[in-house]
Amino acid sequence: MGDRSVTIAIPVHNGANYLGEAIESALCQSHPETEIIVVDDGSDDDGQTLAVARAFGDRIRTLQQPNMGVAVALNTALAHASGRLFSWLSHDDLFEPGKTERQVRILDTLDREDVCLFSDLSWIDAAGCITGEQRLDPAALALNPRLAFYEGLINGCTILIARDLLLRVGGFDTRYPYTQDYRMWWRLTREAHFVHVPHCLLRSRLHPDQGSHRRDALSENSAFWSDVLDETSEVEAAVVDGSRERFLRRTGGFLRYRSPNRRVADQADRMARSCAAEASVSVVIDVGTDLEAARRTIDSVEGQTRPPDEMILVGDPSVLTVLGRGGCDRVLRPTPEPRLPARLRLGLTAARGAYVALLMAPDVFVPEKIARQVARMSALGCLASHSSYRRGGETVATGSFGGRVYPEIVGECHVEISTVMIQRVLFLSGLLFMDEDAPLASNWIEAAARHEWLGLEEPLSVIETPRAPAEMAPLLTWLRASAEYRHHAAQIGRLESRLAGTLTPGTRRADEGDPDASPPMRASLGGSDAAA
Amino acid sequence: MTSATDCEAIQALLRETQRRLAVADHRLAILESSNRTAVRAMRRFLQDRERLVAEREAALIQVSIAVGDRQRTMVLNDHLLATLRDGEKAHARLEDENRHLRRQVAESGSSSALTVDASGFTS
Repeated sequence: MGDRSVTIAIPVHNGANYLGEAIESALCQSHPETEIIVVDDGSDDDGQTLAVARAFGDRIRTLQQPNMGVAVALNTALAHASGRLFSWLSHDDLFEPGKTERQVRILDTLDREDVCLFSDLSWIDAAGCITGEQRLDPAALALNPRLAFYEGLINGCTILIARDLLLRVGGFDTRYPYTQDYRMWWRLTREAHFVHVPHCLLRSRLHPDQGSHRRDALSENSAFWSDVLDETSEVEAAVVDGSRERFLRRTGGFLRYRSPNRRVADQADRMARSCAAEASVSVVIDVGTDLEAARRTIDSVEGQTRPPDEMILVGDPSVLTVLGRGGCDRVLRPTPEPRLPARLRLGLTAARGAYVALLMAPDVFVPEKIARQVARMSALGCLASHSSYRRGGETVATGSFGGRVYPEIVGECHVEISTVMIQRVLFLSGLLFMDEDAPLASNWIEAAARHEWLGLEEPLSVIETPRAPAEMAPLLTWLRASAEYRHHAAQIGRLESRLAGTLTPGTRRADEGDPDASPPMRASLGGSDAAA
Repeated sequence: MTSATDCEAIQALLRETQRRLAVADHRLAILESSNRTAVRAMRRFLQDRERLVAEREAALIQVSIAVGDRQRTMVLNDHLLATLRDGEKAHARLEDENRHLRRQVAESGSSSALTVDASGFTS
């Protein structure tokens, strides 16, 4: 990686009591290329703070500025630093001797400029005695790295980051004297990776005269978390917690029980309660070739108790021209494309809703479909869901198939496209409909391999001809050719048996679309409405 | 003066004591050796454990980066698609405007045709 130089910035305002220890701990770093910059932020203690810093002579650099707050002091250090990497040490905290060396080694291995390391820490009292530790769960943070920010787990004095990255995001925001660090981490969650180092590399001092305990600090902190609630997008929330509602509930819990922000916690709870009802919904409709059937399909969407925000109509240009525009916001995506996955991809690309329901003419939705499915997905934080359906006046209870259905889904996929609703973030992850020649079921398998499927037992769609049975033969071919799934011999064997069952004399070939074939029902794997 | 019997008894006691001491020494040697082996094994186990812990840490960091990359891709895809949709809307608006202008020009019979070229707008 080349340049391994590190700058340790120590901003201080009237901190003669602990500054010396902090500087000593920075000087004790085993990493050789370390520069230490103390920024005296306008101390007015008759030169005591400055005297402590100056006692270290030319082993450190001392800068002075009028009292303008930590953010300005850090920006001053950033501007004067010569190290490629940057870390920050509060004047009352202490680095463990191997902190910089360990973190530089990790950054060397990763060889990326967009990584911000942070670590566990131990708490010390005013006398420097260790009183406790903050050790985070490394596995949980690896699987959900953004949680570190959203759970308030990043201590600024444990970080090591490329200085250029901090400068690129604009440095520390000087409008916020108490939350400049968390404002910075928030910007960095969008620009970089927070990577947890599971070692206590900092001794963080808790003492009564800390600035963060003051009333104006608490009020700024509340304003910060309120901004986080308002400005975290649906996609970002779904990435962290599975849905915006879950995000708001978890953040509300964090604010209520692990931070002094009761008022913002109440705000989070209020927002969570109305979240499902306010979530944006798109319906992607493959209109087919029968104009009347397409109209019935569209009518069923317009007749929803909770109408969607938009309908994306995909299909033959001549049919779409006739269907034109209607009451609900209709987006037309004309295409001569004969392959269904390609048409669905086209529709999903146009969709703006946080939730997207899929529907193929001549199938229809029951009036409560969108309201119920969105409410369940939102509450449980599920990215993919499907339901039972009605066919010829009878209920086909495919909705009992839910929860962790992988790898069982390889052998028995009971998901019908017109019952599917996903969160758009699942499409944005690049999992769905990227291979236009693959059977539809392959997409449900891809999703199940990474996420839980929510199965809703109530029939929310009416389906004329189930497509899942007709997909068994192409699915088998796809599975046998798939490097990722072909090792599921037992499940593939079950699919073969089911396929052989549908191919007994007197029945039509399954891949020709047997209208009488109905999927065998099976017990729920994760319980009804099972989800994450 | 010690009698011959007493002397024999003392000799026997000495032999017995020496024998027991030899057994004890032997046991101690065995214990020492097994203890050394245990310490060596312990040290090796600890080294292996340290290596495994370091490997686990490295693997978790790789997982964290991979998950982070995937999540950022989703967010970036979202922005990209939003930009694309905005571009399409603007394109459609320009085309509408263009049609409207052409119609106006045709109706007024003017020879100077005003057009707004919408082709290639989306990017």
